[in-house]
Amino acid sequence: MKPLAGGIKLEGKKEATLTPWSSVRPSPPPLVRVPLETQKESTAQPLVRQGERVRLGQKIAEGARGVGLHASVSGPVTEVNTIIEIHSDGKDETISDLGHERRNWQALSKMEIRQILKESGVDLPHPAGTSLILNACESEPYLTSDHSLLMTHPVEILRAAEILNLLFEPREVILAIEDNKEEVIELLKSKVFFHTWSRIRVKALPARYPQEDESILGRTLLGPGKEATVVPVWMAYAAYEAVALQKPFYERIVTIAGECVAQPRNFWIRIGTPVEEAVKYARGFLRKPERVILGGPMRGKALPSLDVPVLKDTRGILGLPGEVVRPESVEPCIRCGRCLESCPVSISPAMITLAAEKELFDLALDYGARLCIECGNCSYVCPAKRPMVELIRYANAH
Amino acid sequence: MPTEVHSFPHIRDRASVPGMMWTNVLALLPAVFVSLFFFGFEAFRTVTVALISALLAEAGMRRIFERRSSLYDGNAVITALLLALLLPPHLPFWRVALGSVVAIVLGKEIFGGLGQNPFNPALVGIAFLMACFPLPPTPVMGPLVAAAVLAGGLLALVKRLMNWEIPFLYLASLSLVSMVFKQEAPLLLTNVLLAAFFLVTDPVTGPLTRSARRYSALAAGAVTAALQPFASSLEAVTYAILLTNGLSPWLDRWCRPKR
Repeated sequence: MKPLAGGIKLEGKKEATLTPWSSVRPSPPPLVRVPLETQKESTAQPLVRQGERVRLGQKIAEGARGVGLHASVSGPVTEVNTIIEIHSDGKDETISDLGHERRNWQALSKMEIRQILKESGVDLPHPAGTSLILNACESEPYLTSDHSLLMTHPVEILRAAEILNLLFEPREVILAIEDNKEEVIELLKSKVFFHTWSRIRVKALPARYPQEDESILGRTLLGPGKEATVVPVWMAYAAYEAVALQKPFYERIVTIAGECVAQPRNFWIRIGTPVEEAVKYARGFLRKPERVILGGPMRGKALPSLDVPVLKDTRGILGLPGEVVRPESVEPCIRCGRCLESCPVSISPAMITLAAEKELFDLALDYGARLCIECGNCSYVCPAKRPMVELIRYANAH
Repeated sequence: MPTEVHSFPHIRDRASVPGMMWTNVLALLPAVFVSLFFFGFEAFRTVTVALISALLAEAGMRRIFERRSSLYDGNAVITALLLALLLPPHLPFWRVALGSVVAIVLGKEIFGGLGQNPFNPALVGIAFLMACFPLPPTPVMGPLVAAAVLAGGLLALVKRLMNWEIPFLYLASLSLVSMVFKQEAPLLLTNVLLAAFFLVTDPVTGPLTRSARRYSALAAGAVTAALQPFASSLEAVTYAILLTNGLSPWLDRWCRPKR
């Protein structure tokens, strides 16, 4: 194992949502808005019409490669255009089999599992390499949704690993986790031991950002140039529920945290819940946040408005105050070299950005701009507060 | 350049350029106070004149070029203090002022200000003075001044303004090459210690990559030692570091991150 090159230590700020670490399952939101445009550039085809009543878990749209989208509440469909809006009747009437253990699910074939996962809206990555890595690294501050999931459902995660093992037929299965989550590591190792499931290895990695990045993870665990199928644990859990419990992917654990949030905690949030409604589960904002972020503070997206819905890959909703996110004045580069030392792909952010500012794009590419994984480390460490990531992206756009 | 309103990352490290610069000033203060104690009024005059003329020169240049004032970043203060510590304290005040103005104007502002200058501004000022008038030798200062410089250097190290490798490699290479020339290594000279902790470590004029910085420090030490038999310690330090500053772009190209 080769340790992560560069990388940075970040203040965790995770305590607020780990005491207690369990996740709350609140009542359904008054409405959900499921966007049909998924991030993978294609638009899903709606399968329901306006005015139709849907049940919890019912397939409401089919996206690229047949991956389904599902109703996360029961009630009338009130809008179908680029999103499907469903008003909840509060009853959570489910489709018939939802939550019941599938008979003989351990004996399913590879094809059957693949079909079930597609139908249930679990969009697994393409297989690559000979290893399967379950990614439980969560190195961004505030976020604890995977941590909470592992603490509350360790056996389910191991069963998910069995299902994925059947599907991908890898030579080895590794559960990658950061070494500062000692209680999770202990719990998982004890479960692995008691279930005598020897194919999975729990591997502790140094807690440095961006350890969770897929390209970084494959390289640090297996060596340079080696590829692996990397599946985030939340996705593995959704796969387990789909295969074993006949439950489509319509809810996930989301960390609702940040200094502005009244009661930070992990919640099971229905996919499509508007951020505004989700935040209410945490008793809303104590004070007006300067910035609301979908995802983590390093790579998350600042929200222009609070009616943006929670998606399948939303790990957290953060309300951050001015003293945390207020932009500082930008100074000229003093060539301190901190960006080079923090860069996990060993490129020269300083040279790339200085070249990009002078519109010398060939020079920028020459210094490795294309290899940038946009982890944000260079912007984070820069004492001159230069917009490093934006400048590298600008160079790459030419 | 197009800018997004709120691009990630949404959090930033606490370190800032002005913060680093003023910490550097703080690290120079012990040496300043000890030299005031040793040389009394002459040292006080030199420090004050250097400071005032540097600040006026920077403010004036910023006004002329219609750029945002940069006095708050503390860089002009560092230049002035380094100049005052390196020059002999009994130099006529107008020469100190001239050196200080040249340092700021020709050493830094003419290139576009902080971050753009290829050579250390304080050393540009000193080299200019040395080219115009023969400088009297610096009187030998007690070990107390050296100790004060060292204390400041340690503060700068603790505050992560530099990597310990740089002063270490500079002093090591200086000692080794001095041995080759069968000279006594001038490790405890104030000028040499100032060079090790505050001049070779200047980020702006040094190379970017870590390995290039190591080579730069080694080269600066070797050249300082090689010049020692023919020149005063101030001349040796000044020319050695100006020379290695000039090598920075080549060292950087040579030590590019490899993939």
